[in-house]
Amino acid sequence: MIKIAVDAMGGDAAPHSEVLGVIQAVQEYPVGVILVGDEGRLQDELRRHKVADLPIEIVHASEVISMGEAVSTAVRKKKDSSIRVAAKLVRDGKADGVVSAGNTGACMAVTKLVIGALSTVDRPALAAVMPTAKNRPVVLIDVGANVDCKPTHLAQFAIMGEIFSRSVLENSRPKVGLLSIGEEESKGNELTKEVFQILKAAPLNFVGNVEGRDVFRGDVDVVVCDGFIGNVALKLSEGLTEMFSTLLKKDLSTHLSSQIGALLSRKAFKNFKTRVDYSEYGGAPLLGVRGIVIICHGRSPAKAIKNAIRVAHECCASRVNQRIEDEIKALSFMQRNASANVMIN
Amino acid sequence: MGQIAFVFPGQGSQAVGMGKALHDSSEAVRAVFDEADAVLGFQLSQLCFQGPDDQLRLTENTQPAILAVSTAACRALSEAGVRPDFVVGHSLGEYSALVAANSLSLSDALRMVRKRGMYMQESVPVGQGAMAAILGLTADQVEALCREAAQGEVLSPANLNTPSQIVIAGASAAVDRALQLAKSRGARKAVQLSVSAPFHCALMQPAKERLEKDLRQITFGNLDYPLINNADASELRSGDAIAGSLSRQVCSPVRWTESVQKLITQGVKLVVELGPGKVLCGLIRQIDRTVKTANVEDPPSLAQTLETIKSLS
Repeated sequence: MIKIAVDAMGGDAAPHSEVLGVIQAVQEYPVGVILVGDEGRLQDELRRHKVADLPIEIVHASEVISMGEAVSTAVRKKKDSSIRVAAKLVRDGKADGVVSAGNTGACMAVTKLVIGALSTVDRPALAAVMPTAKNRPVVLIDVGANVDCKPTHLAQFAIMGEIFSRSVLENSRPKVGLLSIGEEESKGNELTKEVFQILKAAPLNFVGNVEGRDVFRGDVDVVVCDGFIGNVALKLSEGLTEMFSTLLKKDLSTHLSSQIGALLSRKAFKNFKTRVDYSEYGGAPLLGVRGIVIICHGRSPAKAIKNAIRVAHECCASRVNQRIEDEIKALSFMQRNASANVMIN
Repeated sequence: MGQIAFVFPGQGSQAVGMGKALHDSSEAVRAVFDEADAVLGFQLSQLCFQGPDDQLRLTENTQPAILAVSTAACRALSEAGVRPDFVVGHSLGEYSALVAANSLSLSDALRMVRKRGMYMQESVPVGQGAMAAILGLTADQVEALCREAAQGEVLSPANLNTPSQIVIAGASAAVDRALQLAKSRGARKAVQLSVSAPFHCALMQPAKERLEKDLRQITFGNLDYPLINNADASELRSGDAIAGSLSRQVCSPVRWTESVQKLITQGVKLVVELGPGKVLCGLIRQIDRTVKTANVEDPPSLAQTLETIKSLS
C-alpha cells in the first residue's frame, strides 16, 4: 500500500484540518498515512473520531517551523521539525510522499535537502494547478522554487509539468506553452528564446509562446516559466481574485435589491466557488525530488489536505518520478547529440 | 582519378564502448589496441571500452583514444582489401590519416597526440578561453564578427566545418561578446561549446612551440596516399612537409570545408569516415550533397560500407 507522510503541524489550523483531511482520505482512497507531529495533540485529535481500523500511524516530531520563520535558520536549527521528520520518512523508504500545509519555503528547502533531487533533474520545480475558463486545469511551472534559471532547467520543467498533467490530470497529450510576451518565436527575452528552440525539438506537444492572458483561458495544459516570473504571476492572480471578491461583496451588500439578487443567485455563486476552488487540486507538487512532495496552502481546509493526499497517491501509482527520470534522460541525450554534431579538435 | 577518400574524426565523437566490437572481431584490430596499451603504459583499450566517461573526456586521453579507434577501423577496412585514393583528418584526425598513409608509425602517433592533448590543455588556464559554434553565417561574416567582438583580445575562426557551421575560439570574454552580437549580425544560432580549452587559435602558441620540438624528433615517411591538410587545404605527398603542417595546424583554423571541396574536385565519389561516430559524414553532406558517405566504427557498419563500395564499381 502506498504510504504518505503528512506534516500535521504546519498549517494555520493544524493539526485539526490535517487530521480531518487524513481521515477522509484513507476512507476514500487505498492509501496509508503517517501523521507527523506532536504525538499527544495528534492522539487527542484522533480520539474524537472513529479511527481504530484505519491505516493511520503517528510519528512524533517535537518542533514546528512556523509560517513567519526565516527559512535558512529554521532548516538548519530545527532538526526535529514535523516537515523534516516527514521528509526523513521518505528518504528512508518508510513513506512514498509528503504532504504539508506548512511554510512553503521551508517545505521546499527541507525536502530538497533531505530527500534530494532525482538523478537526471538539475532543479526541482514547484507546479501550481489552477482553474481555467474551459473547466480544465492548467499547470503553471515553476512558481517559485528557482529564481534564476538556465534554458535546460526550463526544458526540464516543461517535461515534469507535462508528465504531471498526463499522469494526474489525465490529459492524454497535454499542450505545452512557454510563458512569454508575444506568440511569435522571436518574442521574449534571451532565456525564453533559447528555451523555445529546445522545446521545439523536444518530444512534447509544444504549442509555442503563450501570453499571460492565455494562462487562464484553458487552451494550454502546461505553462512553463522560471520561478521568478511564475511566482509573480501566481501572486498577481491571487491578489486580483481577492480584490474582485472584496469589491463584489461590498457592492452586493450596499442595497437591499442587490442583497436579494445575491440571495437568489446563491446557487450560481456556490457553483462558481467550487469551480475556482484551489482546494480541488489539494496543493502544489514539488516535482523532481526523489519522492512525491505536495505543498498545500497554509489556510488549507480538510478537503484540500484530502485532495493533496489523493494527488500524492496518484503520482506514486502512475510512477511520475520514473517517467520524469526517463524522459529527462532522453531529452539530455538528444541535446548532447545536437552539440556533438560540431567537431572542434 | 581518385574515387575513395578516408576521413578521420577529431575530438567530439568519443563515447564509452567505442572500438569494442571491432576489437572482438579481428586479430589485426586487436594488435592496434595492444600496441596502444604498450606504448602509453596504461590500458587505453579499457578506457575506450568501459570508461569512465569523465576520464575518457580528458583531452590527453580522448586524443589517443580516438586515434586508436580510427586506426582500428582503418585496419579492419584494409583487411577487406579497400585502399583509399586520398586521406584527410579533422584536426587530431590528421594524425590518424598519416598513420593510414604509412607516413607516421602508430606508436609515434599515439605518443604525439597524447602530448598534443596535454600541451593544448596547459596552454590556457581553465576558464580563460572558450569556443562557440556559429550557425548560419558565412566564413567572411564570421571573420567580421570576430574582428568586431575581439576588442584587442584573441578571437578567430577555429573550425570551418561547413559553409554555415563555423566554430570560433579565443579569450572567454571575447567569445561572450561574439555570442551576444551573433544574432544581430544574422546568425541562425550561436552556442557556447563545453570545451576545456580554446583550440586552433593564437592562444595555442605555447602548445605549438612545445609540439614543434617533439615533431622534429620524428621521421615522417613519404605518404602512400596523398593527404589534404588542415592548415592550408593543400595536397601533401612528401614526408618532409608533414612536421611543419602539423605544427601550423595547432594555431590555425581547420579548413574542413575547403578540404572536402578539394576532394570532390579531385573526383572523389565516396568518403568513408573511420572511427567513432558519424559527425564528419554529416558535415560532408552539408558541404556537398552529391558525394556518397559511409562509416566504419563496428562490424555492422564495416559490412555496410563494403556493400556501398561494391555498388560503386
